[in-house]
Amino acid sequence: MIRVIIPGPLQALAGVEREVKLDVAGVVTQRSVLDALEAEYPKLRGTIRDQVTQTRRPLVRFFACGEDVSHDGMDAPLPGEVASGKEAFYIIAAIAGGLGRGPQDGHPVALGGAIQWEGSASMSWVIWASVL
Amino acid sequence: MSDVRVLVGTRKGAFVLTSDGNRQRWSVDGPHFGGWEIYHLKGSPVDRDRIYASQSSGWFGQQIQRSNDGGKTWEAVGNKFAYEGVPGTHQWYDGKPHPWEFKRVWHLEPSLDDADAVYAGIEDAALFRSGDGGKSWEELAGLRGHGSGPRWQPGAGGMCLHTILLDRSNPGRMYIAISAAGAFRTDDAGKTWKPINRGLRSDFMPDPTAEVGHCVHRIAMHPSRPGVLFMQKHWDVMRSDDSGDSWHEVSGNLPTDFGFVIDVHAQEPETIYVVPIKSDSEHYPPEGKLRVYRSRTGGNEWEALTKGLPQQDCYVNVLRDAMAVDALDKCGIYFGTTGGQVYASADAGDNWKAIVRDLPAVVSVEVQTLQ
Repeated sequence: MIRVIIPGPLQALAGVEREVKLDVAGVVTQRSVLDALEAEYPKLRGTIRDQVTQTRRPLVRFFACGEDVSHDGMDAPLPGEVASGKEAFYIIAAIAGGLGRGPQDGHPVALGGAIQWEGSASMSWVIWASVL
Repeated sequence: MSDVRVLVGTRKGAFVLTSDGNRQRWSVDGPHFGGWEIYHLKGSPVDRDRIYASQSSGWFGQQIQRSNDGGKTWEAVGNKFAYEGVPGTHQWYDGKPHPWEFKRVWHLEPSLDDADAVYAGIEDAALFRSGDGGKSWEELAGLRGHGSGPRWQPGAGGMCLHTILLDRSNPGRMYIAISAAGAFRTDDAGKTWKPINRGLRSDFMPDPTAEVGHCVHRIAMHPSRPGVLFMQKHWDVMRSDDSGDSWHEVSGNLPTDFGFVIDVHAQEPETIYVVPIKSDSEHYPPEGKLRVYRSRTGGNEWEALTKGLPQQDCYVNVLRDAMAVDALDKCGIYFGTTGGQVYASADAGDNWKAIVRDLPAVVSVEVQTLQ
């Protein structure tokens, strides 16, 4: 059983709790976890990875055992602690800062700086400055 | 007496405002989808309780929401917008080719005769259609296939298809507008498209009268006269009397002809409304006075409508999808501001009152007249 931590806005969208549990067949990778997640909760399709390209959204990151595994590749095996359910697989949304566009009028909107931290079972933390 | 339902999209959620036909006392319901950008909501003309909403987020992408009970409850439907074939490239800000990439849905236009059919105008600019209530979406690829697509370029707000006008008298005819490509028309239900930008002049372009590249902000049409179109361009208020084949300027005595919204009175097809904005770098009303301008002559001669609107220290913007009219007599006019106010006039613009003052920045306003 894989444990997945869902970011707040997606909990409301999909009607799920912060942590969901999934059965994942075969090698436990980002792709197989997301496949299982989207199959169980179809409303999450397109929210974590692009519907067409299947690539991770730029302001979404993946953490496992206190490490940022976002760039490890969709098909890289996740740590054994995640595969065994001892540790959760974290899907994290940036507290995004930097420069965004105001809708419909095209004016840049400064959103301020950004720090994100997220506790895991091992109490690791991450500081992450991001650009929207 | 008819009731009125105003659908408001904001940067942090959707709101549903309702009143009886007197339009003096309003109830405010929301936010729906709190924290998400709601670029647009619009109800079906066939089924008043069927409403479509575009919900998006810089983090989590695009959702399409559908309500079957007038906005009380919502259901996420299909959000897969895949361009047909190899998307190709358009121009980027620096003039270099840039691949077409889906970003968000700017505008949803429900069909005039089928509650399950709805069009979506998206960024990067393309037109999609759903025939199953929003569950699945298919591109009307003839628009991007027109041949001018590689020359389209984003405006400062992105390369968005923001206006979709359906012609009740001619089911095959549809108008769309893109920033910054211009206006296009189809006469065969979206299979083929023609740019309709003759008469537009955009001095920022190397060729100011080019076939495409114009930053059209909004087009409006009265259903009884579908060949007459009114346009708020980046600069210039324009009019066409031949279904867009040619345009002429009707800015007349406006204090500035920059702006975003334009709309037509429900019963008087020559009465039109704009909200002048100072300039493309100063997105607020001139002199800090929020004024709607009305022309009863289809343009050129404009009068300022100010009663009930702030006439000092007002520096909000009114975005392109943020004005609408109801179908009552007298015609109600509604608009929302980036300061979070939604203003209503129950007498065609003579007097205004804020329905609500402190919403998140308003992106879109639509009105349903509930018979």
